[in-house]
Amino acid sequence: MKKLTIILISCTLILSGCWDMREFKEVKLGITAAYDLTDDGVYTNTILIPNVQNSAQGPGQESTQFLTATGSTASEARTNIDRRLSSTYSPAQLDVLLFGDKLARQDIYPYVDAYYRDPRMHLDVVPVVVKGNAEQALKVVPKSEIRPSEYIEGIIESEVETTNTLETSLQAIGSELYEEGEDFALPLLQVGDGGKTVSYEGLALFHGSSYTGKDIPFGHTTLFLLMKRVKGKVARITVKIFDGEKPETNNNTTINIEDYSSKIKTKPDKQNKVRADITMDVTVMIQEYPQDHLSLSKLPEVKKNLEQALTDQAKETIRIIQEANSDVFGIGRSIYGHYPDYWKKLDWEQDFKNIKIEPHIRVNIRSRGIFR
Amino acid sequence: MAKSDTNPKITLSQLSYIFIQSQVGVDILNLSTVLHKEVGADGWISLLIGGAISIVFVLMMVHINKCYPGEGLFDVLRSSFGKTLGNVAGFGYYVYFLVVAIYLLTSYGELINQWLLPETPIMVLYLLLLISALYTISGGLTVIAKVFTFFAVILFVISVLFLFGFVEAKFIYLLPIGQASLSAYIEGIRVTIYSLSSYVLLLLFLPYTQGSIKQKTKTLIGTNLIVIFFYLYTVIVSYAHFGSDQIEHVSQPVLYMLRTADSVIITRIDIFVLSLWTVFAMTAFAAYLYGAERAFAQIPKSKKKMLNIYTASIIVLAVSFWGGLNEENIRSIIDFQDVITEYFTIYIPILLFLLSFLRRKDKKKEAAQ
Repeated sequence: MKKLTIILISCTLILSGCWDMREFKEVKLGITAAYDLTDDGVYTNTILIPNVQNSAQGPGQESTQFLTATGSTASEARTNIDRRLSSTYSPAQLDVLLFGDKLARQDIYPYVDAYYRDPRMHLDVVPVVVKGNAEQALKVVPKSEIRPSEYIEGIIESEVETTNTLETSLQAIGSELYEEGEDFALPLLQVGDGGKTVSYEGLALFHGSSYTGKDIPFGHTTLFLLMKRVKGKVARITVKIFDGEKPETNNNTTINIEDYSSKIKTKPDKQNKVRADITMDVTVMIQEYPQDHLSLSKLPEVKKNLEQALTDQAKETIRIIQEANSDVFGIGRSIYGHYPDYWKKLDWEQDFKNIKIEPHIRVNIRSRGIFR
Repeated sequence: MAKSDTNPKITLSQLSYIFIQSQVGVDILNLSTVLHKEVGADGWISLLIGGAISIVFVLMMVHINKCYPGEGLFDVLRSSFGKTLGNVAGFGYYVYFLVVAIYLLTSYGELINQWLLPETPIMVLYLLLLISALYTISGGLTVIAKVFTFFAVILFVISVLFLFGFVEAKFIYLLPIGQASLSAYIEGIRVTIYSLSSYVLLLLFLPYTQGSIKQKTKTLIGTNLIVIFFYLYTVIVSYAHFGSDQIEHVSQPVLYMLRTADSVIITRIDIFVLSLWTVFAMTAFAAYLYGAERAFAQIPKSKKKMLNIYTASIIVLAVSFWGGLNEENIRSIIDFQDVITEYFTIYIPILLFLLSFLRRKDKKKEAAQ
C-alpha cells in the first residue's frame, strides 16, 4: 500500500502538465502571408487570418482578417503584427507565401530563412511570386468563394492538376536554392479584373535566390513541365498547326497528353561548351480539332505539324530560360556530376546563356476521339 | 539482484539486438552531415570502407574472446596487461564509457530541446532518459537483452518512414564520385569507425552468450552489416534529398527531410521519428552506462551493484548539466571524447588482439611441456 502511494504520487509529479503546451485558442494561425517591399525599401508583411464562426448547421461562416505591418526583418514585422492581436500570431500553419515581384527581384532568402531555421514552422508553404503588389493579391476575396482564405491556395492546386505549375514548397526549392548549377521556378500570379480576381500567369524564373524578372508564359508551361518530367492529373496543350485557314480558330488544335517520356542528356561540346539534348516522346489524343474532317489520311500531316509546333514552342521556352540565366533543368549540376573536371573550366554564370539546348519531340497520335 | 550475477546467459539473437541498439545512437541523425563535411559527395564510399574496417574490429573482439574464454573486458585487460596496468586500463575504460554516456545524454538533450520541447527544463529531459536507462540496467544482463530485443522493431519502423525522404530526392546529387582527397577519405573512415565503435562493448556481452565461436562470429558480422547498410541508407537518402550545399546547413538531415512529408495519419513525421529515436538514445545510453557500471565494479571490489550505477549516473548527470545547452561546453565534451575514443576503440583493441597471440603461444608451450 505504501509502495503504491509512492508510485502514484510520483506519477502525478511526472505525468502532469507540460512546459511546452501551446493551446490552440491562444494562437491565431495565419493561412496566407504576403511579403512586399515598399518604395523606400521597407519590408511589409501582410497576413490573412481566417476566423470561423460557429453556426447551427453546415460549415460556419468564415470571416477573414487582414493585418499589415512593417519591419526591418521578417521577425520584427511579425512582432508588429502581434501587437494588434489579442492572442499570439503563429505562422506555423502557413499554406501560401506571396512575394511581391519587387522583393523577389532583390532576394527572397532573408525572408524565408526563419522557416528553415525554426523547427515549429511547417516547410510545406508554397512560395508564389505576384506581379505587382502581393498585399493587393492577398486582399482579393471573391464573394463566391466559400472559404476566402483558401482562394489562392485553390488556384495553385488546380493549376498543379492541369500541369500548368509544379508542386512546390519551401522544402522542395531548398536544395536548388543552395546548389550551384541548378535553379528553380515559382508560380506567378497577377491581380486582374480591376482587383476582383487573381489569375495564374505562368512560372517565374529564379536565379540564385532572386527573381530574374523573366517568366515562362501561361501557354508554354505545360510543355516546359513535361520536359522537366512533371505531370499533373491532366496535361493539355493548344498549338497552332496550320497557317492561313479561315476562320483563325481552325489553325489550332488542342491535344491531351496521355503518356510521355522525357530525357535530358548533357555533354561537353566543343562549339558551345555544353550541349543538352531534350528528347521527349508524347502519346496524345486529339481533343479539339476545329477544322473538322480529321481523316486517317490527314493524320501524318497533323503529326508532322504538331511535332514542328511543339518543337518551336520548346525552343521559345528555352530561349526565355537562357535569357533569364535560370538553369531550371539543372544542366550545370548534371555536367558537374558527370564531368567534374570539365565543370571546373566553365564559368556557368556566363556560359549558360550560350550553351546549346536542343529539343527533340516525337508525337504519337493514339486517338482522334469518338467523332470523326 | 543476486541471480543476475551468477553467469547469466543471453541468446545469440539477443546479442545481435544488443549490438544494434548500442551502435545506433545519436549518429543515425547526424552522420550524413558529418560525413559530408569531411568527404563531400563521396561520404558513402568512406562509410563502406569504414564499415569494412569495423567488421575487422568485430572479428578481433571475437578472437580475443576465444583466447580468454569466460573473461569479460576487465578480466581480459588484467590478464593481458598484468594486474596494475590492467586496472589502470580498466579505469580508463570507466572514464571512456562515462564520456560516451555524457555525449549521448547531452546530444539527446540538445536535440529534444531544439526540435520538440524548447520550454522544458533540460534537467527534466536528462532525468527522464536516465530513469528509464537505470530501470533497464538495474535488472542485469538478461533484462537488458530482453528490453533491447523488444525495442529493435523501431529500427524497421524508422527505416520505412525514411522512405518519405525519397519523394524529393535527386540522385544526380550523389555524383560526381571520387572528388575528395585521400586525407578526406581517411577522415571520413575515422568518423565512420567512431560511430560504429560500440564493438568495444562486445567484450562485456560475449562471454555470457550461448553458442559456439563460429555462430557468434556469423551473428555479429551479420548484425554489423545490418547497421552499416542502415547507415548507408540514411546517408544516401539525405544526400539525394539535400544536394551538396544545403546538407551542410542542416545538422540532422534525416529529421529535416521529413519536415514536409505528409501522411494521412501523421502530419509531422519528423517529430514522430524524433520521438521514436529517443528509444535509441535510451538504449545506447543504457549500454554505455552498463559498461561504466561493470568497470566500476572491478575497481573497488564493491559488491553493492546499484551503488555503482548511482555513482556513475550522478557523475554523468552532473557533467551533462554543466554541458547543458551551452554549445561551447558541448563542443569541449565532444573534443575530449574524440581524443580518447581513438585510444580506447582502436589502439587498445589492437594491442589486446596482438597480445592474445602471445598468450596462445604460452598456452601451447605449456601444453607441450
